[in-house]
Amino acid sequence: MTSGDGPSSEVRLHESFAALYESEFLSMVRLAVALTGSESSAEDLVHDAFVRVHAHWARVEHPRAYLRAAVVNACRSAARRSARERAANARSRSDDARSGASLDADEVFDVLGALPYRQRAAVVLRFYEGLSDGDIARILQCREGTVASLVHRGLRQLRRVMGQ
Amino acid sequence: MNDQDLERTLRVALARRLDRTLARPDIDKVFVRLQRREARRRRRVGASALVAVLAAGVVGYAIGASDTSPSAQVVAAGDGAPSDLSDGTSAPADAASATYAVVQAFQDALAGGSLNARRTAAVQGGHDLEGLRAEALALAEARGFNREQLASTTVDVLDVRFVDRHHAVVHFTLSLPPIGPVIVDQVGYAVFDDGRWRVALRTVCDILSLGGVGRPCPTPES
Repeated sequence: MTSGDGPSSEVRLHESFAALYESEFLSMVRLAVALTGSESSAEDLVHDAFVRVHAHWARVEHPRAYLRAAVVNACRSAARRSARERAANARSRSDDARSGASLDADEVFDVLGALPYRQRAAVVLRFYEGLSDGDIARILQCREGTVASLVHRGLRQLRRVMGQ
Repeated sequence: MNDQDLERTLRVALARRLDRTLARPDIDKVFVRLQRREARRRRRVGASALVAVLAAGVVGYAIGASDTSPSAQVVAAGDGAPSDLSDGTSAPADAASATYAVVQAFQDALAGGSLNARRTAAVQGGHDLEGLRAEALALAEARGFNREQLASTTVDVLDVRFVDRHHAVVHFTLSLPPIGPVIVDQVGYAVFDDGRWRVALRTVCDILSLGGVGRPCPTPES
């Protein structure tokens, strides 16, 4: 029932949710690709994450932050599934890369994919999303010190592989 | 490669690689998922709530708790549903009082807070029926409902229409706070039986079968 005073709360919800979707969809798909290494499943994972956001819309204070956390969580199990595929890609690319002085973007990306999920997530959130340790800690549900450790170990592993 | 070089390389590589990822937004895919999710949720809540309502209300009256129990012998010859051949009269002489009595019978039979004695008396043949109450209560509690919740089940009688002097068609809604309506605008029957208006056995059977408790009501001809 409309009162004539403006759009109903449901309409406003749809409008603001749709605005979030339009503005964040592509960046979240890219984040999902970075976290899973899979272009094919990234869109599905992001749509699932938007469903979670929609379900909690009334209580969400920071929709983008909530959405990002939902994407990271949704990617966790998907990343396990695609781990083997990524590891195979990484092996084949790193073999090629060893002949050159530096790795190209695809090679760095695949090396990143060989990291354990939490290390990869911490590195991606830090260096792609530009988040602070505190923000990353909230998403990964750990302490800030743990984030620093995850990033440190991730970088050490990347340096080791990239330096070969 | 020092730390700064590594971090810069990483930032650039991620940005370059991910800039190549293109995806076309299609918000309908979200809404399709939302609809599926809502349908699943409704089925789950509906099934649970229905069991809870049954536990709170009508399960005092067993309809075939087991094939061998005496209650399984309850037959619906005269289960309260009006037959095609009504007795030729249109309505009770005092329709207002009769309507009040029908509403009261549905309240007594189906509301969570009714006393068992009133519940039994308010259903056609209620005194002959052994309870599925324990079974339904256990089911409801297993699904997370407690007895206080069940006692808050409410019934709203939406419409009473007399078919003849002894039968009425009743529309009613059962609600379980905080879930809300779980059986909406259900068609049931009232029957004037042994000197008072009662909820027809057929109606109890129908609700029980909706909740998957007991067995569907036998047909009047059986």
